[in-house]
Amino acid sequence: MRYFDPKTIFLAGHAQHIVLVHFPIALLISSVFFDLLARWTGRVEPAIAGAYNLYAAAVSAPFAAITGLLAWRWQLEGARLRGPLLLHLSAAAVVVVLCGSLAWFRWWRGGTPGSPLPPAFYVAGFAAVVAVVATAHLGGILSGVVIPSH
Amino acid sequence: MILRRSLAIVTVLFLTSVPAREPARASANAPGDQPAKVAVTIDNFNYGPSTVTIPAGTTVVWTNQDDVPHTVTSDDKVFASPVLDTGEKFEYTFKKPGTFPYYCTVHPKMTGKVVVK
Repeated sequence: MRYFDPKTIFLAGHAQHIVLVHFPIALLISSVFFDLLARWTGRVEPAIAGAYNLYAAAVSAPFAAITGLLAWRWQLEGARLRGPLLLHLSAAAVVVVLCGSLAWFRWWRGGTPGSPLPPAFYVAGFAAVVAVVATAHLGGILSGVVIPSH
Repeated sequence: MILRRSLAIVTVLFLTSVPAREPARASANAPGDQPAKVAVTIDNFNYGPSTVTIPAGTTVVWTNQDDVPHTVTSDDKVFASPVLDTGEKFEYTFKKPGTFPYYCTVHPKMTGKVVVK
């Protein structure tokens, strides 16, 4: 068995989705964590970290989504959208929209780094984290890492 | 003495009249009939049964009853199904004897085997 076959690595049907998807997941969760830390400590450094993590999440999320669509087309041969596959795609769409909206709001708002963010921002950030966790869990089911109970 | 002999005869007759149980196998039809079919269910990320033993000429029918898509792909590229959605089937008739391991290309840890006698 060849563990490092270049053809398998670079031309896999999953289109590297399972590799790239971890970036927006980690960056979004880190962003929310740093924002909460900034609010709790009143320090500007976590706020800056939170902002840049959010921008990176918003940039990487569409790429992860595109590779997901390619994986659906190439590996799953465009299987019908139903069950966990439909839920996964729907939840991923919510994540991309929320991530982009939060990043756009933060960029447009500008202001002094570390200045308090409106409460609705934290609520939306928490909702984005819940959505990304649900999306990831469904991705685990689709890839066979998580076996759902019957 | 007569009673013992009679009892022994009855016992032998009884034992020889009960057929021995054989492992479950696909029943081969008479020549000229449609090939026999054996069903394998795909559910909960498993092929059930994972190993089937069949005579040559038998058709194996895989049915995906899981909520996610799967495939049935031979290790040696002898047969390969398209991606099977829930409810979809794939059939292959095994004409030559041999052992044919297979797996799901989407979930490679799902494996099964067809043994053709």
